[in-house]
Amino acid sequence: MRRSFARATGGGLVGAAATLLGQWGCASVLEFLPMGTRAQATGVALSTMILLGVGFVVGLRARHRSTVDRPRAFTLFGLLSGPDLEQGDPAAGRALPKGVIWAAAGFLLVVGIAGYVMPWALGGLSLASLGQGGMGRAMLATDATLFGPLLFLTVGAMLGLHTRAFTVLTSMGGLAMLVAGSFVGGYLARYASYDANTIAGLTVLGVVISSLSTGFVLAWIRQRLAFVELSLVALYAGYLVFLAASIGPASLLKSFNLPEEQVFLALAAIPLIGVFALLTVGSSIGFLLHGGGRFDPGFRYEFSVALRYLRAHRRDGMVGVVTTIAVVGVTLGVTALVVVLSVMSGFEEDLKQKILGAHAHIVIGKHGDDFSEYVDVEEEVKSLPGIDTVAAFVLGDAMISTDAGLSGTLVKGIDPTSWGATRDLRKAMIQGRLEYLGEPSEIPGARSISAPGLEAYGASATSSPSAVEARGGKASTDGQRAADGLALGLGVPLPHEDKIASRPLPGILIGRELKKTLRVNVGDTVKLVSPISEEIGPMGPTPKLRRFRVAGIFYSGMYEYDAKFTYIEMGQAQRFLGSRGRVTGIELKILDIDDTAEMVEALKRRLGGHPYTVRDWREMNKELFSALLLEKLAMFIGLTMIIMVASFLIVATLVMIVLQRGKEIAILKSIGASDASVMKIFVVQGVIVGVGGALLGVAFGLVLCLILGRFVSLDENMFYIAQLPVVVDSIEVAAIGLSAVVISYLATIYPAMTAAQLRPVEGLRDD
Amino acid sequence: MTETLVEVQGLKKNYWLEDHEIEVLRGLDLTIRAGERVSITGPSGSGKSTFLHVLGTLDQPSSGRVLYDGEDVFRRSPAKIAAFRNKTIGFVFQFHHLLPEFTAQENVAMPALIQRMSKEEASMRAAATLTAVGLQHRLAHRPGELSGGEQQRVAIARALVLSPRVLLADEPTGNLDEASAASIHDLLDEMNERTGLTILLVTHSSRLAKRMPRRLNMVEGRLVDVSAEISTAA
Ligand SMILES: Nc1ncnc2c1ncn2[C@@H]1O[C@H](COP(=O)(O)OP(=O)(O)OP(=O)(O)O)[C@@H](O)[C@H]1O
Ligand SMILES: [Mg+2]
Repeated sequence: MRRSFARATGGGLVGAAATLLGQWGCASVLEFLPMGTRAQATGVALSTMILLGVGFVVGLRARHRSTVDRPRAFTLFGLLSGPDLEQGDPAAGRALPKGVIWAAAGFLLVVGIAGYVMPWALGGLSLASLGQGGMGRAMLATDATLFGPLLFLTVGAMLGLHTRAFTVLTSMGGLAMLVAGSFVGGYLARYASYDANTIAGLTVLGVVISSLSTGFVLAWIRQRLAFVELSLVALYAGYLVFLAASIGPASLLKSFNLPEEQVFLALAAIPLIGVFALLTVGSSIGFLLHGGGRFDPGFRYEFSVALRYLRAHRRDGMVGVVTTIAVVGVTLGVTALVVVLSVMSGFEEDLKQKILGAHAHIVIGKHGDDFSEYVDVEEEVKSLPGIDTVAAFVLGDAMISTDAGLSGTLVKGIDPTSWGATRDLRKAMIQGRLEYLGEPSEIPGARSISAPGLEAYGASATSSPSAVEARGGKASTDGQRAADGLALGLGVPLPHEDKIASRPLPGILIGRELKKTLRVNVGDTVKLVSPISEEIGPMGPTPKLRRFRVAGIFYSGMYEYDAKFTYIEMGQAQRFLGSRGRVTGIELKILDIDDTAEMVEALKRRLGGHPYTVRDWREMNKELFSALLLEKLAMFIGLTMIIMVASFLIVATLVMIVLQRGKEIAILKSIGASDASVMKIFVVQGVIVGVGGALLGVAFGLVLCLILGRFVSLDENMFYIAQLPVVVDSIEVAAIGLSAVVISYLATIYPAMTAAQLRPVEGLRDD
Repeated sequence: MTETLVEVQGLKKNYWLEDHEIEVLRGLDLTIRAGERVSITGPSGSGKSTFLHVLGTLDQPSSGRVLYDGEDVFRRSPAKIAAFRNKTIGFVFQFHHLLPEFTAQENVAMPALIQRMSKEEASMRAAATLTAVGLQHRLAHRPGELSGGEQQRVAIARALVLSPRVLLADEPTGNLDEASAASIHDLLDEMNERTGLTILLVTHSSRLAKRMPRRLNMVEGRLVDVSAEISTAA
């Protein structure tokens, strides 16, 4: 049996190598053909025919060689075809009319050829003229052509192996089921929620469920693993997506709710690997439950046999060692995933909290530059249920400077008497008071009357030693020197200076980081320079300069925010930014952040859409969050590799056990164990390893998270956070554990199936 | 009592060795009635074990048919064939073939467990069957802790535990002393009488063959009925 195993494996490898070589050959031949010409289309058609022919001959030959006296179980095609060719196939007696066979095969072929030739034939024209998909679509088209040869080789081989209609028909049924299920899932998802992420999640869930159930149903019907059908379904499903993505309308891509750059990755990976894996999982479950010819969910004796095998091997050499390494590998992978993802979630959560604390949840804006009816809109919006605070604001760019430093800033005008506008900001104040914005005369160190120039110096001199020190220093930029020059102006107020000298300077709130940059304290004077100017000076538009007195310092915990934002009174801001009577937008906070998507919809409906815009915090910080998500995804995939490697060890262990236990498998079969039952024994063994590793890994991971969260402190100046943030998301942990188990389960399928397909007499002759 | 149980028609079995085919069974025809006791003798390598394997659906014929109750077993689905092996056929191999990690009782209980019988009932049946073959004091022994003869008796118990209709025994007592062998054959005869068990026994011992009413000889891949021959010679 071992010799036949070696020979068959060799055969399988040669077959695989030939396939790859053929593909490579085809791809390189196509390289030489000029793009977008008829010659190219001919070349494609020709290579398609050749590949189909090669596949067909290979398939027929495999079929011819696999007479019942030759072990077929280990060959590539043996695995693909299952016991389909043997006598005893339940479908054997039910041959369908030849016409149906060819119609079905023809359908599959036409879809394939269309998908294969169209991107090429149309590619040169449509991709350029469409221009919407950009590189992503071009890459998809190229990929579809590389993918084509494999498809046709496989289809050819399968047609050679199975001129039986049932196979082709069930494959088509499976394909239809998968596609229909996925579409229905995506369709329903759009009704279930407004949130793009939720819709995408539900859509993926739809694909997952339909893949699983398609595999399940196929295996249930065929009473075997239905690999032929699965391969056909997965290949065509993947191919249809490629086809749709490369030549279909661009809106189709959008319906997947993926950002452009993720499209290629997702489309390439999900249908092929994901759907096939899911189909296999579904189908193997179907086979395990119904492969014995009746519904049989039990696995009692299989479990005890599996346990004995694992225990027996703990004592002896290689198998024991490899099993242990496999468990350790799964444990390591799961631990790493739990810890890393929890820390990443921690940072994300921290960021989210800071963003939500400091910023609005939803911002209503208006197209154009005339948002003057904001009071009405505010009233309109306030009445909606679920709204917490409403506050209009003015926002503009400016330069802020002192003698010591200069920085760009986002000046935000707020109403200091509005509870909604000030609630969160008030909590963040660490020096001074927010109320000073409305009552600038109360600011400590403020003088009521002074010529602006003198006043500025006087104030600085009395309250800020640092400013005095800095006075001797050079002005930091030419801009500031110019500003200083203008400001000094021999004590004479300049036209665009504050005209009413007798009034106290208005107040401004700055963040902790900006305070460090400008080296100021509460009561000090700062200068704001706005690029927007109402007045034209002798040398063209002159920048507008105004003085403010620092009324307070805030600390939000977000560096960007504490370094960039400044607050002034609304009226001041409107004057300073040249938008009298108008606002930039209205900020809203809502009571329950989870209702964001629904609130946005409600607001849109209430305001009637254009010219108003409604954007939520996720949308406003889209780049940030999608970068975080992508990073997390990359991390997940990277670390899952550890589990994958461990799963190869599971394969190795099981193959060893299958080889060693060939005789016992034969004995079990001779006393009536079905193929599904034998398969259960080995699946159980692998799953024990996977579940063990996953449980250990989750346990270690959680303990590590606890330790990290408690005892690791960070340099706050560097990370802007004192403690390593660890947020253990139970759904994430469950997903990690489940992935580990699913991967281990997948790893068992090949060895378990070879065990199941052993013919009893082979094992019994082994003495 | 006399209805046909097994019908073998034109059974051929070839093996591929490198590039040439070996013909082991060359067109065998045989009819066995329910409750019959049949012995098969023949020189080593003549294909006796091969024939038994095909009869027990452990191997597939190259051509020809094997009918049980008039139905071609090899046209059934793999799942049905497995269930058929479990319920209808009891196998005793030339080399006992027990599961080394399991005790005698567990080995014998295995066919019942495969059938999803409850563990308690399976253990009870196993104990009863082991008692019947005289091993009540060896229930908890593993095969490695049993003598060759005891192992063979465990194998017989395992074949009989689900009261199959047909027992296919390939030299079950080849390595037993005469007394033990005789007691096992007494047991088989008794089972035959009590439950109508059909027995096909491959043996090299003409003395044992003579206990069987119907005797077949395997010559060059064909079966010859020698019942009359041997009884006249005896
Ligand atoms: N898997 C196989 N491949 C090739 N030849 C085989 C295979 N199995 C059996 N044979 C051959 O078939 C012939 C019959 O074997 P079989 O075991 O049936 O003989 P037997 O009559 O039971 O002999 P014995 O009395 O020694 O047990 C032998 O020549 C053997 O070499
Ligand atoms: Mg033999």
